[in-house]
Amino acid sequence: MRRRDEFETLLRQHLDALYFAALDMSGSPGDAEDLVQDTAMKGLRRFDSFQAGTDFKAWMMRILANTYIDLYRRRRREKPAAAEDAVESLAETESPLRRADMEFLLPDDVVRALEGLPEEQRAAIVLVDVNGLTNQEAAEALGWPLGTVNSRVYRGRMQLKIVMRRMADEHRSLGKKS
Amino acid sequence: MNDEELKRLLQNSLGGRRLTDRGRARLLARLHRRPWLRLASGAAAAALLAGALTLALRPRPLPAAIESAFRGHELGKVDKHGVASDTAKEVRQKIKDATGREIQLPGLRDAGFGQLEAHCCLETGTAHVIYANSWNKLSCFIFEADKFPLGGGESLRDAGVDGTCYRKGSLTAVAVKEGGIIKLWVADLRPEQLAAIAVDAEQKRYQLKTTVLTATSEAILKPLAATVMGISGVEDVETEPSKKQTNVRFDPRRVTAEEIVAVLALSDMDVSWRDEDVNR
Repeated sequence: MRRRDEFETLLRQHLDALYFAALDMSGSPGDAEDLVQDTAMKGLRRFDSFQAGTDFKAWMMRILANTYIDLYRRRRREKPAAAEDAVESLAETESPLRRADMEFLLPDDVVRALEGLPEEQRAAIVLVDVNGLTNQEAAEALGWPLGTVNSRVYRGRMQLKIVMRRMADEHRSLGKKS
Repeated sequence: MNDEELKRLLQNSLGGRRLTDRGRARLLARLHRRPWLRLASGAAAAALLAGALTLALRPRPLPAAIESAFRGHELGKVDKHGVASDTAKEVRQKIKDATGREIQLPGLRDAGFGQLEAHCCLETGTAHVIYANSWNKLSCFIFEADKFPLGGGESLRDAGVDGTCYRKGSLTAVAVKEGGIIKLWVADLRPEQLAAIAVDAEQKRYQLKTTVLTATSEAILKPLAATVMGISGVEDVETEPSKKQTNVRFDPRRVTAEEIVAVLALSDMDVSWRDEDVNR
């Protein structure tokens, strides 16, 4: 029972991060709650293997990613993936975000830009860039080859920079008009 | 904007989000709900139907070998997840000692598991190889098909897998038979997840290649092995200091010997290399 209490205390501390990572990856509040619930059950069952003093959030994040991948595979069976290559052609014609554009971004722009990424890139970005896993840890948790994660992180970042530049330009021009 | 700045922007914008009190309470309530309560929330008619179905489809007892494998898997000790106590060579030798056959099991790095150790199960005399990641473990039991005949189970043919699946609680076992040998994979994973790992391991087994790297000095063998293990697609590495050699087993679908040598050259480690036969 003490182990369970200890697990729950740690879980409560990182519940927000886990929920929003699940939401960002799955794109649906219902799926996010299911993912957090399954992740918590797996984490509790395997809590004996967690080494005290190491990063609980990163450990749970890896379990979450591994749980998410089941959902992802189920979805892929029902609906094949959309092309991930669109960003290549975007990159040829559009400019990426600059530091100076940041002041024109609105609070929701980052979330909207992330939501617009293909699911695979979004999952890679959420784990690596938002939650601090290494590419290798994300690859292991998601069961994807490291090269695939590297490429999805790269493409995701490129697309985010382009889309957010577009948003900043739009807000800048609206500002000038008004 | 460079990648580090983008990362900071993402973390600052998304990292501090908080659940609403209501959302948090709902999530915590769900976490405290027991699985049987979730079932009980269904309509009474559904419960009755489920009861009737349960009676009709009551699971048959599992074969003794499967029961024993589940027990062996639970007892298999993993002290430090991710830290191997046996080298790949020792694992191969122990499998040979237990089964009398040369059987190569691939590492499961693609699936996020590292190969830790192998031993012979005292109870059954089967070879038991243990893999683990930071939160879970996976077992592979290897034995002669006629020693422990397996019946029942659920065929995985519909999922495109020539194997049989068994479940007990949250544990899953997937048996794959080939050439008179059964490989029984056991883990706390969903059947389709474990089946995918088992199938990939079988496919990979026929494709793994070994390259022998010869270094100019013995001193670089250790950093060389560490660098090579970090390359995606490399399964395992064995160093033979007396010959200044390192044997690298890799999946040629993901990396080539030339690429491995090129990565080493980038770290100023010059090696010559030659291919060995494909491992079976």
